[in-house]
Amino acid sequence: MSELRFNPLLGEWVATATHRQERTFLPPPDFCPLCPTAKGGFPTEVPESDYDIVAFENRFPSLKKEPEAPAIASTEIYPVRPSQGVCEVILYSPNHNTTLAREPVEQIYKLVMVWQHRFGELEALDFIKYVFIFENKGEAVGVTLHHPHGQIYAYPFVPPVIKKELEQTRKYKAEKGNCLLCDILDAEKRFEKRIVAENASFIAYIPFFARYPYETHILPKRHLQALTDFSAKETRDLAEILKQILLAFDSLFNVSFPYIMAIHSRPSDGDDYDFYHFHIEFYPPMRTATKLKFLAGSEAGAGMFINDTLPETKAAELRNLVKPVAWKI
Amino acid sequence: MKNETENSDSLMQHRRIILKDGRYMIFYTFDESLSGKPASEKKPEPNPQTEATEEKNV
Repeated sequence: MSELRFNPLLGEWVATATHRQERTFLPPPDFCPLCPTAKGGFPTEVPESDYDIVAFENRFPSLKKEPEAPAIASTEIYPVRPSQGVCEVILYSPNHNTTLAREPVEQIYKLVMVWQHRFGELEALDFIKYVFIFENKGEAVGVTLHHPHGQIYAYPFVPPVIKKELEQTRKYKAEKGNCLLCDILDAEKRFEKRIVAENASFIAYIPFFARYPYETHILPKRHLQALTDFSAKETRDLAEILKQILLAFDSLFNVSFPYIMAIHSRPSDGDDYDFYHFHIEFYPPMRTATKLKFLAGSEAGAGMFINDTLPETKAAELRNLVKPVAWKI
Repeated sequence: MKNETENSDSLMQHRRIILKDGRYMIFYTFDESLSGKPASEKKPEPNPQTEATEEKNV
């Protein structure tokens, strides 16, 4: 059973997807459904003996291209609609024991190209209004499969966090005449102390308003709205700065660092979003080597985050762990 | 099994198959120059024992 139920209190849609209760949960490595199917082995989700990068429709989707009719009728107070959309999984490597951080920068470069292709193909679907590329990494953020992978949710509406960013950036542009994130880029470059890494096309920084101790944002220097706007050089530079940030994360506590990676692009509903600026946000839950940041009363119940650290201190810590990337190509 | 191959650009190609349950799966392959590995290393090959169906090549 699957449908979208409207929350009139917050003005947001919630997806019910009861079939997801049955999804594979932390299987042993020998029974990973995302590994290639070994000859004579059990059939995994990928019916081939090897691959480089693979994208496919999620077997347990929250949103479907051709959803069933809602099981409950819509009312004036509780609108309901079919859970139409697309949910994809992207496998980063056939190697079960790797992570994006451990992959060569060349593989991350390939992944960015795949993201660009998936974004372009999914946003062309007439029922899609927003394409959201993300990764949940680590059991601390709730992953159910350890094989290195990311996901794409293509929504039939603009989701609330993006809607809020659009409202703020639209308002800023109307008031100041500038792009908010272009001005943030200038402010961070002038201040310097929150910058973690930088190359010709991007900066990575812990924002002034970070909600998590190691929350890191990656921002293109050029005013771009989506991955499909990138030049070849920017595509390569994004791979490089991603590799640097991910390795620095892993070096912090010498663990495979958990995070949520959220790629924020303009909507795909055909409207003009020239005031918006593409960026990537990382929300890592670790605040020390042994402690996690939980969303508790103030965060979950009121929406105000409390950060026990200073972004300027944490940026210096992370910056000291950033190393140059060696390309083989 | 249905299989469709397209050139995304000169560096990346993709091949789409349709799984038995109707879902699509897209295999991306890349120009050898992007691998950073010796050219002699094996590229991904279809598994002859696969249960999925392929679309035609384009």
